[in-house]
Amino acid sequence: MEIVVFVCEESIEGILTGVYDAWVEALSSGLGHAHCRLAVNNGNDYNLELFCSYRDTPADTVKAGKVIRTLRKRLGEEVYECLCYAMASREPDRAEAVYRTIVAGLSMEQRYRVLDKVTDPHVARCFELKRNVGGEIHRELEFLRFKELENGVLLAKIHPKNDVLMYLGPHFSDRLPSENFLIYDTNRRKALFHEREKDWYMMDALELDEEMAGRISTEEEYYQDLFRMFCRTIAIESRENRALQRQFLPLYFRDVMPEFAKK
Amino acid sequence: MFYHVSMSTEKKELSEKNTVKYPAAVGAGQLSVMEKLRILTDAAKYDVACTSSGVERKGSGKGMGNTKFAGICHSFSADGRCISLLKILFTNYCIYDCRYCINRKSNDVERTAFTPEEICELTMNFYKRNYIEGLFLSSGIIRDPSYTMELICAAISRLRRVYRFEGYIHVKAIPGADPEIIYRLGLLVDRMSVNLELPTAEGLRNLAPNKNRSMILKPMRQIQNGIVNSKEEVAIYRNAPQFVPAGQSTQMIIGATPENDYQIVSVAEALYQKFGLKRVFYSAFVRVNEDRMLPALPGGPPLLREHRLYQADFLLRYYGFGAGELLSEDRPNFNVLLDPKCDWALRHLELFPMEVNRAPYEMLLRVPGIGVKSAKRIVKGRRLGNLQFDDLKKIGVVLKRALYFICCNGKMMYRTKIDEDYITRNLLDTENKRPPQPDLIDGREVTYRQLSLFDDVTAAGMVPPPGGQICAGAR
Ligand code: SF4
Repeated sequence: MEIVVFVCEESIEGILTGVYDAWVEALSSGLGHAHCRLAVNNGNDYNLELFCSYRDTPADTVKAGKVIRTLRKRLGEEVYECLCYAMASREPDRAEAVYRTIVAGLSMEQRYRVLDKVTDPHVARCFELKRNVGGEIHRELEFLRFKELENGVLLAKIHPKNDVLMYLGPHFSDRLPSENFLIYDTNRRKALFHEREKDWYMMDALELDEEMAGRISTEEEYYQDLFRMFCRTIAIESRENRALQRQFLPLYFRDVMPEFAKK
Repeated sequence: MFYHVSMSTEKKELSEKNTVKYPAAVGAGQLSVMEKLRILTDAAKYDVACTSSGVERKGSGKGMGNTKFAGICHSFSADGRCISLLKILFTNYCIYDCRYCINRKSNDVERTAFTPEEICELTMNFYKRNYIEGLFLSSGIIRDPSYTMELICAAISRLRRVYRFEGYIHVKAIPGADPEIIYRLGLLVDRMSVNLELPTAEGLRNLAPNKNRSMILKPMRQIQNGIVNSKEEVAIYRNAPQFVPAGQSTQMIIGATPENDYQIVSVAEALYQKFGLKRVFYSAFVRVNEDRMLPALPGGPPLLREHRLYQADFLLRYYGFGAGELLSEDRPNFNVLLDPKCDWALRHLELFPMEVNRAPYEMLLRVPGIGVKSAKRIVKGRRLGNLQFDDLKKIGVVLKRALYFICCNGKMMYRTKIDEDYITRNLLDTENKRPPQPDLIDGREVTYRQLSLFDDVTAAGMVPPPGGQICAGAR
């Protein structure tokens, strides 16, 4: 049997469109889901295989929306959320893992329990991806730092491995409702905006105005210095343990943290 | 909504009570804020608790801040401890002379105090930059406990009402302060704690001449009752003000006085059961003062002992163990080499190996290498099919520890002996390489990082134990 590989765009919408198209193909060909596979187009990450035909699936809001409604209704919010996290992963096999998990879930009697099916390798993979993405989201909530610009805007630059930016929106807009803030993903050139007392929104393909981003408020350096001093003073000398500190706070995050700036 | 409520009850009290003027005598304004922050952070650093957990609250939309149930850590200091709250003293002036304390009256150290304004500005500005989850305010005692508590209350109410700060606030209640002030403060903050200081009344008598046990237990009881009453009221009137919604904690110093581990764990157990505490913190004694009453600690603070106590504390709170199961009069101290859970399992080998596909949840929790999360996933997962060792690994079971104690479908992973010496030797190979872990970890990280002290971290790279063989039945 020839296998059709549906090549999706990287976004969640793209992957869900792939799920939709694969589903249609599986049913209409009469060959079932074994006949379909999903891959993500991130430039180079899928190896062309023999006996496979490749089909591009441009992201389609309507198709993705239909899949979302089905997932929420038939697998439940918890599963849906897990799949969303998994799709935000950067791992190339994420689309396939999500697709197979959906297939497994919809064929089960207790559909909303699909995540408990740890013996299914695709479910286990989704769970693993979700755990990684969830961990990274949490680390951004911990270690992301805002700096105050001259115009009062709070700016944070992040460089997450997975596409977690949109998961930061609800958290920060709830805690900083009266601030204008901007979180910028330097890896993906995406930004999350929040305007005072309004809802947050995202923008793709955006260059950060570095000149503007460099003009910090008069108080900014003062508070950075204060916090750096606080962090240094709070450590107990006779308990020093740099290895432990590194274990909890990998060097990877420290470049955006003022307490680790060399001063 | 939260503030809305506390404001209405509090407004009139404040106008009456706000008669306490900020004491000019404590030297406010003479030093720069930078200097004050250095001094009052340095003076606060021996306080252990830095958690921001216990209460989930959305922002009202009108102020700044919210709280997450699991808490969030924002940084880690050079000693590997988490930084979650702006942990400072209001002042390091003190009329008492506790022998273990850097701020005691007889010490010649630089003294200062924050103004309420300074505390508010620091908290707000750190918070909005995502440096902290909130404020942890403690204090030395100026004039008397009630006077000091009133000053703290004024600063906190300014932070809540004028600055509209809705993030996490933890304050220390000072034993001996007027219960009415403690009550008022409890309506403004998320967590309150009273330091037990030392595990026994006798230790306290020797090292803290101005304090005594009953004076400490009194506010602890008051806060406990306040929390219970407030919960009942909130259940009836949804808008009733919440009193200390994130619960009460305490801390004690380990190794300054001669109590054994069994005494300490029993005290902790009693605090959880009789005072409804959320957390008990243990702080390895750091010798900051020259004093003949204090023990010399040539090896530095007793970090490993502290670590064992935190592990045991987890077993009390989440794993259903009792203090008397872990230690006894005859065996009053923890095993230096093995964590308390492994130690317990080795003394109960008759219960093992346990069949993972059938053992009740409570028993799974007792298996070394299986944590709360993995035990839950095992119970869910096995409903949908028989679990194999591979599945356990994916679930997050630390097989290199668990393998001596479990079987899947009647088979153990390797051919191992169920023999105390043999298992101990093999376990030590993994255990010994572990550095002493930190005490204070917050947040979702409590479940993730701190539980990882034993169990919930996936074992990377499984090596068969010396002498072990891959059992054909396992795969
Ligand atoms: S009361 Fe005792 S422990 Fe507290 S600051 Fe004063 S001297 Fe230190």
